Amino acid sequence: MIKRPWQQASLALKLTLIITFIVVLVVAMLTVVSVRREQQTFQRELEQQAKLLLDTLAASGADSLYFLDADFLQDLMQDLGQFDVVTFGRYYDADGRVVADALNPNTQFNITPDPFGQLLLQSDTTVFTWQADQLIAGQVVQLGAQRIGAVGVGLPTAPLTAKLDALGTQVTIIASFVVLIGLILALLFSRSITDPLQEMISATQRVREGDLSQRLTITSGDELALLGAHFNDMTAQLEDTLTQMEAEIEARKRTQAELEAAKEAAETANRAKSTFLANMSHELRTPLNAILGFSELMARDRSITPQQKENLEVISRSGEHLLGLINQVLDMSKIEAGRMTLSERDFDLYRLLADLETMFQLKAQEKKIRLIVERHPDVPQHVRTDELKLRQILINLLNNAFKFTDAGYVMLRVDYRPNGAANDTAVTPPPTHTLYFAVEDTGPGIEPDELATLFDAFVQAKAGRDFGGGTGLGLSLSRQFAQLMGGDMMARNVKDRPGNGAVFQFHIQVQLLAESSLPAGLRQAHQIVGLEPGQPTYRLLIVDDNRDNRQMLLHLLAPLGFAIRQAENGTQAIEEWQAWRPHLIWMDLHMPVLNGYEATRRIKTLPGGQDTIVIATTATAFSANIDDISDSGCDDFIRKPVQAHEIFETLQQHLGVQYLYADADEGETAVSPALPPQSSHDLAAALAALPPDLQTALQQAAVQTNMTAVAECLDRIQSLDPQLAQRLRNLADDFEYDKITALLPNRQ
Amino acid sequence: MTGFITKLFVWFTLIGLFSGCTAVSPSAPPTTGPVPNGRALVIGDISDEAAETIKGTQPLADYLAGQLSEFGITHGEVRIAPDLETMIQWMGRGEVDLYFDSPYPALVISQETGATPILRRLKYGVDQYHSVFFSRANAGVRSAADLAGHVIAFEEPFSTSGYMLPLAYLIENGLRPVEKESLDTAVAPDEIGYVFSTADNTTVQWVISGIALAGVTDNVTFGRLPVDTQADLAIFAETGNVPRQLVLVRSGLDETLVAKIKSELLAMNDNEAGQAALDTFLTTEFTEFPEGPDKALAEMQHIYQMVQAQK
Repeated sequence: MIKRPWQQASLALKLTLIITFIVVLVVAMLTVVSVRREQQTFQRELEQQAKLLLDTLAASGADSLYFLDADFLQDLMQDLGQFDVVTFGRYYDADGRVVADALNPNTQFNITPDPFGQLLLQSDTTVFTWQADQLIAGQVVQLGAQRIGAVGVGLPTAPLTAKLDALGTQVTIIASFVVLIGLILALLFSRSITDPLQEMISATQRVREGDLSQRLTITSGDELALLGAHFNDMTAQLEDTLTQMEAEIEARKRTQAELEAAKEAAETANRAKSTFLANMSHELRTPLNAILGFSELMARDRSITPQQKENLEVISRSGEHLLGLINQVLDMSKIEAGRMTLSERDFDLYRLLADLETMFQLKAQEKKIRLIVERHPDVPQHVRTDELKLRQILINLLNNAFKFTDAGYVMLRVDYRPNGAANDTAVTPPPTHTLYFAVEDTGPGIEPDELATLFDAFVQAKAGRDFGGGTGLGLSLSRQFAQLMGGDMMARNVKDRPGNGAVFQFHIQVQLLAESSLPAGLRQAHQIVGLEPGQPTYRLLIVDDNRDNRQMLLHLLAPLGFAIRQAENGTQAIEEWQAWRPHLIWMDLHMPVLNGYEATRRIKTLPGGQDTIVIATTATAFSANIDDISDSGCDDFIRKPVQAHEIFETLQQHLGVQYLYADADEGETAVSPALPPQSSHDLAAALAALPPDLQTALQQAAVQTNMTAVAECLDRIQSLDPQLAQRLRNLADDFEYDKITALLPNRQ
Repeated sequence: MTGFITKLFVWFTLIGLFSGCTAVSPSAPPTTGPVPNGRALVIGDISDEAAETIKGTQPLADYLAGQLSEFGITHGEVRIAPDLETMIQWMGRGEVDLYFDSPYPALVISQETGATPILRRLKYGVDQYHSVFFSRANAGVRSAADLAGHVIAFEEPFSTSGYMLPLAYLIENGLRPVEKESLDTAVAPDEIGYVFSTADNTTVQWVISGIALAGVTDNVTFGRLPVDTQADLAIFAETGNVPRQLVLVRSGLDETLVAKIKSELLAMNDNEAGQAALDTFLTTEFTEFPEGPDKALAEMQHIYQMVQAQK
């Protein structure tokens, strides 16, 4: 907005101008009125003078006018003219003729009557005519009822003008003086207002610049002084507040520094712990892998004695138990570090429950207690959540239940409660629903005073302590997992008192899967009835020294139209490959004569070997040998026992197989769930495809075992390759940072 | 007199009115000096305005007196008479030595006192003049005879042009002029009434105003009327000329002195002082009678006798 000049003027100037204008206006009005009044007064006086003169002349000349003594009248007029006080003087006869003229005798003796004379003769009152420089006045001269003539005079207005000029000059001088006084007073008045305001402005400016010691000294005793006092109070308060704030800021800075130091220390400790855990994970798992791996190998030796086999089984179980304990500690550490994440996947809940039932049926038989699995009919079959953690929770709770129950039963109940549009499974994204689980036993129950700390880490109930074993992390981990999956866990005694058994209840949030969104692995378990036409005949080579394993795959894949060949060891596998050039090889890693690692390595080095997909199948539950799998050249791996859907998914993923689907069948094969297949070759390739700076950042973070930095890198990778991110996240969750660095391309 | 008082009244009124408005310049203080001893040459005049008249005449008196020291005349004086009767008395007593006037009053004084006309005075440069009878042009007056039964305006009883000459004219033309008291006085059909207006201007004004059918004034006065006024008037009769003014010396004045006075008067315009005095006296010069004094006086005497006989 454009400002007018008036708006930009200072307050002092505005006040001064306004007041001066008012003074000037008033003085001007008074001057005009005064001069006008004086002018009117002068005019009245002049008229009065003229009237007096007329009366005198009329009286003086009445007789002569009656007799028309022109000579006398002329003498009279000439005498009048000699005074130079009249500008006009005439006598008129009864007809209006000029009889005598004071200044111009030539107007005499005119037979034609004068118009002014005639006017006067017709007027009853004195006639006044104001002209520019004179007042013309006249009146009839009447004797009795007879109008004998008229007399007229003219008085100059010069004296009046001179008077008015003098008056105007005087008034102007006075007015100028008054205006000057008014201007001075206006200046003083405006200064009395603007000076304090200017002082306030200056003080405010200095306050704005940081000088809070500014104080105003306005002693006028009016509102400005009050404003100044309030200003002083405000700045004093501001100064105090600022001082306090500075002190607080300093304190906060110190606190912040302390917090930063504490954070740094915590992060250092966290990194140290992560490094420790990663190292310990590796240090603990590596020998365990060896123990478990060799015990398995030794168990495969047909020459061992039953006792040796039993001993190896003990070693294997002990190793697996130790591995479970280590995993629990690592999981708890991850939870404490906030690094525990969900690995959601689509799975068959019914199959999970059936698997658990199968898993604990033997134990139930051994302890001669009943295992009851109750599933509400509304519980959905296909859901999406972290299957592993759910399995882990249920295994933990069932293990505890069987551990502490000697008679009676152990019951697993599953219930379902939809949240929102439960029937609309096609909603995207799928709505979450709540699954309720309860594990009830008829054991000794839980002491009431232990219920509050039951889920605390490293805390065992008395029963647990009595029975020995364990780290005290199982329930804590289970609850953490339930909370991670959007739920919670609680425990109580049956009949709310010990001695009647315990009930462990938890609920989680799951997403329902629509039929159309079911993975091929899940769908095909119900629906795959063959291969879509128009595809080549896929040649699959099954390499496993275990006939049952080979048969399982054969029976699973051959009916669908795959061409199947088998091999018992690595050497046969190479021969079959050379003769048949399969599209994909299911390669067991641990075989006699030639193991799967070497066979894969050799095949991959042969001409055309890179064109064959090699999927390693391994019975180990560890990821410690992933390097070996990747180094051997395998494209992917799956863990045994394999699931059918994993087989189909792997074929679809690596060969692009298109299946034919039908309605769901009953009596599907129950297979134990396994981790999703991972291909170290694919991982390395995917990592190499990442932006160089991201690769470098990930490598540095992994080398430094910086969990936070690794997580940040994974977040960036998530947007580029979600699958890669999930795989790397799994490695990071297992503190497999060395594996991550191994998969990354060599960078400076 | 009344007029004089009236004028004084007007003067004082004006002074009173404008004393606060005008810067009244102080009048020059009257000059005073010792009253001279010795004989004076006294010039007399008849006037209502003594001061004005004296002012105009004193220089002449002083000049002449200055030329007459051999006669024991040490100074000049001017005496103003209010009327003719007083002047007659003064000149009769020898209190006035010189007098200037138009022929009729001069002849009256001469007749009554024995004063003698010695020269003509050319007042305003006029050596002779006559009377004119005039009326409004549309009045229908073509001759003096048309005035019968009407009243006309004369000036005053001792006016040459305003009384003596026109009266003599009417008489000589067999008409019968009769003085009336006012313009409204009845006039017999065979009479020509006349009323004294007291002034030529008044006479003219009466005729213009129509309150008098006709009037008589001198030709010089009539000639000074505005042209338009003259066009609206008509002169229907005129008299013969007479000298404009005569210079009378009192009887009993020494002849040598009279001759000296005469010669000095005749020579006044030959010198600067005399000319100055003449100018102040509104006189062009003094001259002899062209036809000789006797003849001039004889004609004037005839007219005078005619008028006197009418009274």
